[in-house]
Amino acid sequence: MATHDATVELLRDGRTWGSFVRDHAMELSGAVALVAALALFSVLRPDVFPTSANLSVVLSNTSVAGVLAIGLSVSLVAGQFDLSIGAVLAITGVLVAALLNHGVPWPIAVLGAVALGAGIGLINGVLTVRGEVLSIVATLGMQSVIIGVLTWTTNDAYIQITPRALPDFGRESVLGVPNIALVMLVLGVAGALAMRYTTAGRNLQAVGRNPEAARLAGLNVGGYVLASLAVTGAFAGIAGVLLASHLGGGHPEVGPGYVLPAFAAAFLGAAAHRTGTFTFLGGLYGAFLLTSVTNGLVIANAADWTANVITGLVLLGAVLLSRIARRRTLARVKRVREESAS
Amino acid sequence: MPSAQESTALSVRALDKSFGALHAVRAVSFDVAGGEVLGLLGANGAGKSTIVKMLAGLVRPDGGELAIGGEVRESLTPAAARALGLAVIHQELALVDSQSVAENIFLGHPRPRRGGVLDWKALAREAERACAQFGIELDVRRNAGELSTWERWATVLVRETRVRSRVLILDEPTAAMDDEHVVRAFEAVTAAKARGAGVVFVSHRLSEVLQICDRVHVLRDGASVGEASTAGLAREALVAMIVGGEARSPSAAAPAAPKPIQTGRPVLEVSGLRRGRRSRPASFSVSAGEIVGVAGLVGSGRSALLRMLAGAEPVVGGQASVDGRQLRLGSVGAARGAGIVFVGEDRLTQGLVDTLPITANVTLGRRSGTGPLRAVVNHRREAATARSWIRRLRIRGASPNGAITQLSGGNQQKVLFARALQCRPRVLLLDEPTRGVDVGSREEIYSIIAGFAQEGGAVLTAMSDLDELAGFVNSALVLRDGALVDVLEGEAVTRSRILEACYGHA
Repeated sequence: MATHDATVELLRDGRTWGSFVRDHAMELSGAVALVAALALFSVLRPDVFPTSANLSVVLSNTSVAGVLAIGLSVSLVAGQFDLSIGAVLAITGVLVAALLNHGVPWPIAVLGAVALGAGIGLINGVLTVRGEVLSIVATLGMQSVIIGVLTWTTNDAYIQITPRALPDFGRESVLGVPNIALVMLVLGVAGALAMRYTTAGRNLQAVGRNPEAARLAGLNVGGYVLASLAVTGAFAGIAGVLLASHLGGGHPEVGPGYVLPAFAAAFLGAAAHRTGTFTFLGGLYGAFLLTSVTNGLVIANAADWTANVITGLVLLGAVLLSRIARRRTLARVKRVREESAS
Repeated sequence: MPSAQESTALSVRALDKSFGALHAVRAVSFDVAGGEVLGLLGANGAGKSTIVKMLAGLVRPDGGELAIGGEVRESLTPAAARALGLAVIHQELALVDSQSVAENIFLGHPRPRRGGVLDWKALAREAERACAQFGIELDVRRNAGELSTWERWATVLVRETRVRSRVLILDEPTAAMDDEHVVRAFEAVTAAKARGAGVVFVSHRLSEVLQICDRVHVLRDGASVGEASTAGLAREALVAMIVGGEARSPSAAAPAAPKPIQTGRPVLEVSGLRRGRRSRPASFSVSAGEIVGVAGLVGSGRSALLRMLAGAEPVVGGQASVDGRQLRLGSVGAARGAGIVFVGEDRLTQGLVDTLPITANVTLGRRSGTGPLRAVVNHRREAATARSWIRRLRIRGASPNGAITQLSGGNQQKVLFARALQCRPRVLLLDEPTRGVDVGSREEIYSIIAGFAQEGGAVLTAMSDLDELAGFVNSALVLRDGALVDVLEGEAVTRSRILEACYGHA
C-alpha cells in the first residue's frame, strides 16, 4: 500500500526499530492477537483446529464476510456507511437461485445478481449524493425495503438450486483452497492493486479524507461517492452469489447476520493500519481473524452466544483502535502546524 | 457626553499576549466608564480580536490586569467573565436554531416553572420584557432558525445581558446587517448605555463608530497608538490614526523577490462579477506577468472573490475569460480546464490529504495520468515528478513517498504549489499563500510566485499583511463589504493608501 512505502522511507530516514515498534503498535498488536487466538485454539483442540480440513472450512466461511468487507471498504474509504449489504447479500442469493432454476445460463444469472447489487448501490448513491440523505440512513431504509420485498416474494422459503454447476463450484477446492476463497483472494488483491495503481482509487481516498481539498483539486466528489456505493452494492451481490453457491441455494433470511462481521472485519483491517485507513487486504485479514476466532469457539464447544459477544467486542475495539490511530495522525499534523506557525 | 456616567465599568491595564514569535497585544491599557461607548479600532492584525478573546476568557493573557466593576483579575474564564457582569456578543451568533427566541434567551438561565413543568406563557412574557429593555420588538415564539441577522444578534444580546451586565463587548455587530437594522442595533446600544453599562464597540465601519461611540481607542500592530473623543473628530483624522506611517518595522518581512516589471497582454479578464443579487459587480483584469493583490479588511470578501473565480463558490452574474476564451463560472472543473488553479488559505482543510504520500498529494487532480493510461498511476514516474518538484521548489525534508504530515507548514505549502504548478496553469489564484509559513519558506514561496509570473502567468493573490502585499504586487484590488472599491497601481500600492481605501474616503 502507498503508506507502507512511507513507512519504509521513514525507516531509511534514520528511525530506530524501537520507534518503529511504537509507531506500529496497532499493526503488531493485531498480528499478535491473531497468532495468540490460533495458538489458543490449537492447544485446546489440537486434533481438529490446526488441520487443513478445518483451515479450508475457515477459508470458505471467511469468503462471504471477506468479499462483503472488501466492498464495504470502498464506501468506507469514501466516508460512507452502507448498512444494506446484508439485505443485498440475501436478495442477490435468492435472485441467482431463482434465475438458475428458471433455466437461465449460470454466467447470465451471476451477472444479473451482481447487477442487481450494483443497481441497489446506485440508488443508495443517488439518495446520498442527490438527495443529501446520510448514507447510513439511506441504506438503513433500503435494507428494510429489500427485506420486506424478499419476504413478500419468497415467503421466507429457502430456494434450492437444481442445476449443479454453481453449487459444485461453491463446494469444490483447488489444492485444498476452496474456490470461493480463491474468488475472495482474487478480488482482494485486484482491489488493493486498483487502489494503489489507479487514479480513481487514489482520488477516492482523497474524496473520503478531505472532500473540500478534492473538490478544489477539480474532482467530482459526488460522482466518487455515488460510484463507491454502487461498487459496495456490486460486491455484496458477488458475496450473495458466493454464499448461494456454497449453500446450494438462496436463503432470504441470511442477510442481517453478515452485516456486523463485515463491518467488524473492515474496521479490524483499518485498526491494523498505521493511519487508520480502510484497506482491502486489511478487510480480508479482519475477516480471516474474526472467522478463525468464531470457528475456534465452535470447535472448543463454547456456547453459541459467545460468537455474538466476541464479534461485537471486536467491532467496538477495532473502531476504538482506528480512532486512536487517526487521532495520532491528526496530532502529528497539528504539531507540525504549530511548529511552523511559531 | 452621556449624563448617566458612573464609575469605571471596565479597566484594562498593560494587557499583553504573544503567540509564538508574534507579539499580538503589547501592554494595552484603556478604561470604559459606565454609560459610555468606547470604539476599539485598528486594521487587520492590530490586536482587537485578541483583546476581545482575552476579555471573553477564551485566551489567557501573558501579563497585565483586567478590572470589571472594580474586581481585579489577571485572567478570566468565560464563566468568570459572565459572573462579573461582562457580556461579549461575538460575531458568530450561536443560537439553537430549532428552539424559539424565548427559549434561546433563557438558554443557560433558570426557566420559569409552574408545578414542576415549564411555564411557556411566563417564559414568553419574561423574554418579551427582556427584549423591551433594549427597545427590541421580536416575536419570541418564532424559531431561531428563521431569524434575520439583526434578529439573531438581538436575541444573543438579550440572552447575554439576562443577568444585568456592567460591561458589554460588541464584536463587529453590524458587519452583516442592513442599514435599517443598524439603526435598531444602535437603539439597543443606546438603551444599554442608558442603563449604565460600559460598551466596547469593535468595528471597521468608521461612520458608525463616529456616530455611536463617545471615545475611540486605536491599536496598531498590537500596541495602543492613541485615544480621542469622537466629539468633533474628523473621519480623516481617525483614518490617519489607524493607518499610521509606512512599514512598521524593518524586520517586517518584505519579500526579497523583485517585482516583475514587464506585463503583457491581459490573461484573466473579469467583468460584472457578482456574488449576490444586491452586491456590486466587480470588473478587472490581470495581465501576463502581473501579480495583482486582493486587499480588504476581515469580512470584505477577499476569499469569496478568489473562490468565485476558482468555481468553488456560486456566482449570480458576470463573466470571466482566460486568454480571451470565455469561462463557465461556478464549476471547479471548468475553471481548471481554462487554466485557473486555486490554492486555498487553509492547507489542512482545503489542500492536504494526510493519508496520501507526498507523490499523490502533488499529482492530485491531474488531468492526465502518470501511467500509459489516464486511469493508471505509474509510481516510478510519479516519484520522479515529485522529486523534480521537491528540487525545484526546495521542499525540505521531503522524500517522494514520505508522509505529508512530516513536513513543516512552509514545506507543505510548497507541495500545494507543486500541485498547482504541475497543471501548467495560466492563472494562479492564491488565498493567503504564506499563512502559517516560516520566514525562510515565505521568501521562497514569494520567489516561486514571482517566477511563475515572469514566465508569463497571471497571479491574483489575497494577503492580509499589507506591508507584504505592498512590497510584492504590481497592483492591488481593494474590497470593502464585498464590493471592489478601488484599484491601486504601481507606486500607489502602499499600506496607507490601501488602508485608506479599505475604510473609504466618504
